[in-house]
Amino acid sequence: MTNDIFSSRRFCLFIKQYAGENKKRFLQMTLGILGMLIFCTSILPVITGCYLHPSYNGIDTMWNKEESMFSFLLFLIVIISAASTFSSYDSKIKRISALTLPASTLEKFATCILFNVVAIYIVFFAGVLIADQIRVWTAPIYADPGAVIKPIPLSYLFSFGYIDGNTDISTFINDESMQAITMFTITGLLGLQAFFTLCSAIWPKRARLSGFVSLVGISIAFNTILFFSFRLVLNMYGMSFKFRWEEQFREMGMPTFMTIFYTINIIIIIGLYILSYKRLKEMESIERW
Amino acid sequence: MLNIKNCTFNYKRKGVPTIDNFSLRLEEGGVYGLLGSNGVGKSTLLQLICGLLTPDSGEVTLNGINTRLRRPSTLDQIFLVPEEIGLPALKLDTFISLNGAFYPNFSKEDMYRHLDTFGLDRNIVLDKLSMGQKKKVALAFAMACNTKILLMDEPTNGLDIPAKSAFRKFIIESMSDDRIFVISTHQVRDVSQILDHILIMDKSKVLIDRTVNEIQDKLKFLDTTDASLIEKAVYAAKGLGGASIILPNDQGDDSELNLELLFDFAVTDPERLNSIFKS
Repeated sequence: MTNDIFSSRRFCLFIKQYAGENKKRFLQMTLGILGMLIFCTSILPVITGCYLHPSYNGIDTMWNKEESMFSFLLFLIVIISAASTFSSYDSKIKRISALTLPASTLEKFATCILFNVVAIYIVFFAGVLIADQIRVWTAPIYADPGAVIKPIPLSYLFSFGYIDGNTDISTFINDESMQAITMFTITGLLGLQAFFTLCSAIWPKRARLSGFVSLVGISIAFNTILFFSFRLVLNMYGMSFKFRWEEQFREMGMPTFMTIFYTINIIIIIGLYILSYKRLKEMESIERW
Repeated sequence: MLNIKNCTFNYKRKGVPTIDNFSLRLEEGGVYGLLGSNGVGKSTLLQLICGLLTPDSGEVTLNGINTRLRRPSTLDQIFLVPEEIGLPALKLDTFISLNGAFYPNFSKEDMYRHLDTFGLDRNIVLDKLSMGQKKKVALAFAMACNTKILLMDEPTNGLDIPAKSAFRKFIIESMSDDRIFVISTHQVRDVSQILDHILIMDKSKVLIDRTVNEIQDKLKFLDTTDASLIEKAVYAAKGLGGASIILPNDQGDDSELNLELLFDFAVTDPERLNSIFKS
């Protein structure tokens, strides 16, 4: 008996089909990301001149700049990739072919998410490591002999520079504030990704433009909902709500505050993906409102 | 059995619907010709059958299952060859291996045989083909999938004369008691010999829904210069030196179905046409 909801055999077939038909786009994107990262990491030391004098504290002075640049590029690339999640459905001809292929909506949805939402992180961080290593190989050509040139540690990268070259992560995980900022950034990134995935499901052809335009309005609505959700949850636990965040932290403590914040964010992210799935399920060969 | 039940569909969700309270049953073993002018809803109907469009009311079911659910077990029984063909930038062999696996009855041998019949090389890159070549590849693939229901929207558009002949041959050879072919076209001469059921649509309605045998039982088609016969005709299309006419077939004579003439008659005077069948 056929499983119409999800079949692992059919899922593997669809992954193969999707990868095969989109391999040119994925290759272009991978090479584009790698090229951009290599260009930035190679050109940045030259522009900033940070290797033209000796390092005084034994730390590679490029790490701080690289970390900022990578963070910005990560957000940009993740958003662009998420906005392309359903690009296989961006024209009537492609939509007819994709929607009539005998696979379930869940299999098609999961495949698109796998390649455009999940795999992009693997591609990006692999690119970061490669670009950084190329910097390490090429910088000595023009650098001052006293300049420290080392590969950026992953702990530095993921702690936003909090660990200044010390790869001991125990300091990192004991610091609540650092954890909170990191988790805040990650949930923000995942939230933006989920939002643009939904935009791709609604407007496959012009997801980026429509996404950015609607982001302004939705951000206001999102923050308003978050504000009142937060206030409601706090009132349920008998805590008062104050506008000044410092007072709020003092009263409830950072862990409680961040737990409530993450929970609401995660619920919203899951909700956005559910809406994307529903949109794909209801998609027709033409765009009709 | 494919059942279209009271389907209404409107692209703009208001105004005159493209398909209005349309009902139809398609039985296995039939080659249905869906005829009509441009914009009457032929392509819309085919897309409703595949589940590509959601009817505003009514439903389309295949063996009791709503096709709009787009379940894999339904989709692998239906194949649509659309009017415009889009093929990915892949080699033909790669395309076959990636897509054929989704259809349980797909036959690679059939695919290559049809390609040979259409005169296409196997070593081709799909996005570099002309429109006619893409149509041939799409038709060959559709035929090789051996689905229960094959829907074709203007299948002979862009085909050369040998390819049209090959297409007709395929339809005749592939038809079986458990399959349904639906051919939507306004190029009636390309398909008139292979149809056994005629559906003529106009202004979101079905004007005629009859088998070829029923039509030939009731109507006689002939070309004549006899003025008295032309006078008696229920429909006449005058030409140089005579006319193509339709007469009531009171004597049970055999005549070759003139689909173009029938279509013109159906569009011009549908009430009279249907009264002949009811009599």
